[in-house]
Amino acid sequence: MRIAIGLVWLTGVLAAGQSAGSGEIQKAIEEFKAQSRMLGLREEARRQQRAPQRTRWHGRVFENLRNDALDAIPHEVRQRGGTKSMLRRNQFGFNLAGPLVVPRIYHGGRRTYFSISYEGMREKIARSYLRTIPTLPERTGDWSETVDQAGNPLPIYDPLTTRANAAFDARQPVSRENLEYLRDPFPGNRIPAVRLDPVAQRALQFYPPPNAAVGPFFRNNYFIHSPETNTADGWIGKFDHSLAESHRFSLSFSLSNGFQGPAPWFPTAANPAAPEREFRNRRGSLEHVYTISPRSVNSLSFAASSDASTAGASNRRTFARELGLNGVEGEGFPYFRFSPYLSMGRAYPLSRTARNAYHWAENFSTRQGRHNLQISANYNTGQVNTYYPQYPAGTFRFGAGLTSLPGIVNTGHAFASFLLGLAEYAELSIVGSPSYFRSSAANATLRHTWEASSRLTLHWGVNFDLQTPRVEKYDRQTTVDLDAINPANGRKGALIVAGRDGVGRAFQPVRAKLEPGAGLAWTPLGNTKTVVRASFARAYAAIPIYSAQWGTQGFNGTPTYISPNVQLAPALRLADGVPPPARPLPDLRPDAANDTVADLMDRSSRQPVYQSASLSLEHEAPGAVVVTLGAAYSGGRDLLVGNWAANPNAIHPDALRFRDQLNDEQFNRSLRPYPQYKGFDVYSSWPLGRYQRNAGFLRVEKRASHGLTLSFYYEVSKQLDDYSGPYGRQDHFNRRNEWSLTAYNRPHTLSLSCIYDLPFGANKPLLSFPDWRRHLADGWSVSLISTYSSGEPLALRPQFNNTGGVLDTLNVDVVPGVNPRVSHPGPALWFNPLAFAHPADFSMGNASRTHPFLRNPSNQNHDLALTKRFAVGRDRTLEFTATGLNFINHANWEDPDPVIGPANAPNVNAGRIIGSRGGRIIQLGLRYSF
Amino acid sequence: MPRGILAAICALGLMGADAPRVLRVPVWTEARDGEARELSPASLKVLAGGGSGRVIRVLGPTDELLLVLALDLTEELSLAELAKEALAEEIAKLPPNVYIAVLRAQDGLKVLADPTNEREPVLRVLRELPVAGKAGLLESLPTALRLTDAVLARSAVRVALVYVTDSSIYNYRDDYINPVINYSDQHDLSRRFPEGLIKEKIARLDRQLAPFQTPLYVIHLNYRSDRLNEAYQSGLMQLASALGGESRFCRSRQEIPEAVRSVFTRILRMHRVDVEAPARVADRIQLQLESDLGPLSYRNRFQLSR
Repeated sequence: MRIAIGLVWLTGVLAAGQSAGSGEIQKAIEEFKAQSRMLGLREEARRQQRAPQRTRWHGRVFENLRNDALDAIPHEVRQRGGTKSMLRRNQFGFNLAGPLVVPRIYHGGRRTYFSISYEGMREKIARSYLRTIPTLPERTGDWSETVDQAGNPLPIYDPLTTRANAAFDARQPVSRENLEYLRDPFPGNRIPAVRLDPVAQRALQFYPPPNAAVGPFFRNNYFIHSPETNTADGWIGKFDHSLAESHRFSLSFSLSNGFQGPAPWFPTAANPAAPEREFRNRRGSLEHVYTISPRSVNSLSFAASSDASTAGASNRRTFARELGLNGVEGEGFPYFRFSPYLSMGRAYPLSRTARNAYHWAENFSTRQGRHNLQISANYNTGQVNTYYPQYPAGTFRFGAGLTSLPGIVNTGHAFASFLLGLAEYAELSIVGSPSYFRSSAANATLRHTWEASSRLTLHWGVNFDLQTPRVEKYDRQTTVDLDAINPANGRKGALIVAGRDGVGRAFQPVRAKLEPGAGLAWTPLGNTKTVVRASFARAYAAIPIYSAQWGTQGFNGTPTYISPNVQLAPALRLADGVPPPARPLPDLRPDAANDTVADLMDRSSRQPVYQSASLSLEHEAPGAVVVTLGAAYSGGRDLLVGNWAANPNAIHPDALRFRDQLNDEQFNRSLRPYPQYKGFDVYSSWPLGRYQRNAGFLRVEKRASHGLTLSFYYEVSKQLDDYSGPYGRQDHFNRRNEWSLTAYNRPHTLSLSCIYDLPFGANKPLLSFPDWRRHLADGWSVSLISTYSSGEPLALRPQFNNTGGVLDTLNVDVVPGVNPRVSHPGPALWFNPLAFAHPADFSMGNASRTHPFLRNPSNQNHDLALTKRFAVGRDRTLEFTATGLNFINHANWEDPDPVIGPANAPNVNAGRIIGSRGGRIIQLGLRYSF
Repeated sequence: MPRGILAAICALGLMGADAPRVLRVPVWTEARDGEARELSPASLKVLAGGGSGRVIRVLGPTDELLLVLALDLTEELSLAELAKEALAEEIAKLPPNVYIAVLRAQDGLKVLADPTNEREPVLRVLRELPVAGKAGLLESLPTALRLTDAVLARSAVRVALVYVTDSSIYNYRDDYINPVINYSDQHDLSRRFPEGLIKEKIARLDRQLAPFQTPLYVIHLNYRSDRLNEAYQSGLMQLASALGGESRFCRSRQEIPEAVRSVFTRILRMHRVDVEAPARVADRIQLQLESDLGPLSYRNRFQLSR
């Protein structure tokens, strides 16, 4: 053996002819050369290697299993008396990676490498919700037992008995003592069977009966506990090839097909839950990296993606025809809405969408002296091909007004109006063809980093961003131009069509913006353990293209039927059917969108802009502990908001003085800036929102020592805006009034994350066995993620909104001098509802959109994973993982009931919490790595 | 002689080299007065695997050192350049008994410079090394250690392996990040603890590398604090520590020269103590060293079989 070693050494020495140093170092050098040759680490050795190389592929196979037998019963299910919540989930797959080999043709060696992964998933998972639906007597027209939220009888009035009150004093507000219209309640509060609408009766066959009695007063009587069914299969592949050292090519792709079958809320075609959906995702990218010199690198890449989905494929019958609802030819179940009860049908029941994106990127980096320069250019183009009708089988909204005592809240009921077939609003979506939207964006960026001194590094950059607006392949786009004159009434606001009458193909301008940014890193003490960092950036957000066919109204009709007075006359009767559209499609005349909720695009050059600044101090303390203390500011304006927060056709609140007169549709519309329209649909694209966020944070990281890695993060923040919230904006004319806590702001968030290799087994202080016991002791580790966050601001709302359509959203009133806090907040009472009052009819609430200090309950979650690895030979591992999500089975309280009722019928549930949610989930995983 | 046969003989020679159960222990004197002292066999007492071991040889800071520098620079040009400058500065200061070899780790391990105590060829290689490609540290470690361990076994010089890297776990050719494959799968909890794959790789490497005896040093130029990279970086720390070396992670550019300096200083002060393990002890050996010269720091766990 020694002869062999000596031979190798001698060969090396003779070849190298090295002479410096002692004999030992010469031996070391020659050994180095010989070994590196043997291991194929030298270029000449690789070239001389003729024999086929041994292919070493590696990868893994795995299975993750979840089953309800392993789980705790979720708290929300247990509280409804459930004993089981079905869960079956299998997630499985493999990965294989190594040199690319084509037998007898090509061996990738170190130059061409691949990695391919497959993952499949099959699951059935129960979902539960608690909702309110009509009682069985109510379905038959018997409202004799029905009570309001305070437990008082709820009278239902017969609209056929409506007549003017000769004694009405127009100078006084409408009240029970001064009624403008008289109307008689149904005898015994029962609607006679002959009066029940036949279409509504047929539709009710698709509406399930109550199955719970959580209450109070027959509310929360429908417990949904049904499984959703999902499947998915996907692949990811990557190929990497280096050519002549300085050129590298990377190719990657991914394919995924999925099916989502959401938990049905009804076991019938009237199911209001999301429709089943099929997904198809395709992605691919190609990158070339050229190393020009050690100090200059260039990369060029192209990526393409296609995400397609089809929804509601199994629900394509024309149910309106089956129900006898004439004039509706669209597929799907009609969308009947009668809040507060669960609706039948839904919006967007059928759709087909494909989103395709193409991205080119060029990036050049170079370093000269202490300066680092990066120049990049990107070009993106996107396509959205979509068929997305909102109400193909129509939407029919029913209100309490037609069965109420006109002008008096807490009388009548939307579902009673439905039983009579009296809709206050109806709309159809007639979509003749899909839309093919296109847009593109380009940007060029310059970034410069300068190491000014050994203590200070400065960087700055600027991005020039150019965005083209949305166009449609066949110019099938329309919007309302708020400056064009409408021929129907001579007022401003008329429909315009892309590419016609002097209008460009796009409605919005090309946007060109500069986005600057700068920052520094400074070691003030001359000690690298302490670093101060500061940064500033300003950025403009892209205007997205949504999947909906918003902005195509002239080509795709939305016949709309509006009640002349929601308390006196319906928009239509279901039994009479829906009148045919007045004009054939396409209707591109300037008045084509009149008397509808018209699609409105912002045509200005406004674009959402964000600014941010941060300052942090980072210090590495002894024991590999890094502490970071920081503060951050961010703010934005012209953020895109939707119909809940933007209404360019809003009536000024001063008009509330007209009181009940506002219920007259014609009078109401006459007060609007654009009276020819019922309203506008701005589809989450109106640039109006503002926000500001200030935060401070503390991060402590403990790097691995004794197998333990720990990370702790705490943040305190305050975020305010003028648009967010579950209910929307009350006053569209005074944005300052809407400035309040952001609806989702959680001022305190805390997270703790740790990874711990247990101190057992080989190379560990404990239980290091040389024999078979090492298989038990080696390879244990634990991971933990714990999070806590305080609650979101409480957003209260009044039970009724009797403002004649002037205020889309109504805030509550604050009762002066009453403490809104309770001494021991809990499920019985979380806040004091007596501190708030229902606003009087035709007046605004004086409370803020979100409460300045009352918050919903906090949330916490603790997840734990325990892993055991078994060594299988030298290079293989069998790994078993048990993951406990919410492993301590903590129950987070639901939010309290935020509805404040009127003084004569207070909501007995206000401030109370119904139940809690959450439950431990266990997932078992097995992975074999080779 | 045909090259295949020669290679086979070499391989057999390597296997045979482990026959005497020798532990090559990196040792540092931690003198109380702050001065590093040279150890000698007589000044050391050894307890290995419960029995007393025999000190065969002691090499100290004045003996020859082979410093194998493995560069894994793939991400950011400016950090890599700073590291190169810091390395050049430290290399220029090295005494002539230090020999340097340079390897490139990205895209597979490759020798860039053979061991030499001439500085210019090494500096030239450093200057010319491109910053590109895919990270290669994890894949190249066993091979690099096999190379250095062979040198350690054949020659009476001190040997250290230093990796300088800026790699992110996201820049490996192999998949350690377990990316989402099915975007429509909304209830996937298997990625809640995403570090599983990298932890598994580190555990496997820990097992594979345990028999090697060359101390490993890692200088990471760009510390990242996302969960996956934290697991990766902790893994590097664990591997370096297990092999008797150490790791440095730079959170800012300013830290890079200091990290390089500190690692080089540590290596220059390193002793190599060869200990013959008692004949009848297990493959996994716990070692205890004591010296009259003061407290010592050293690698104390070894595994003899491969």
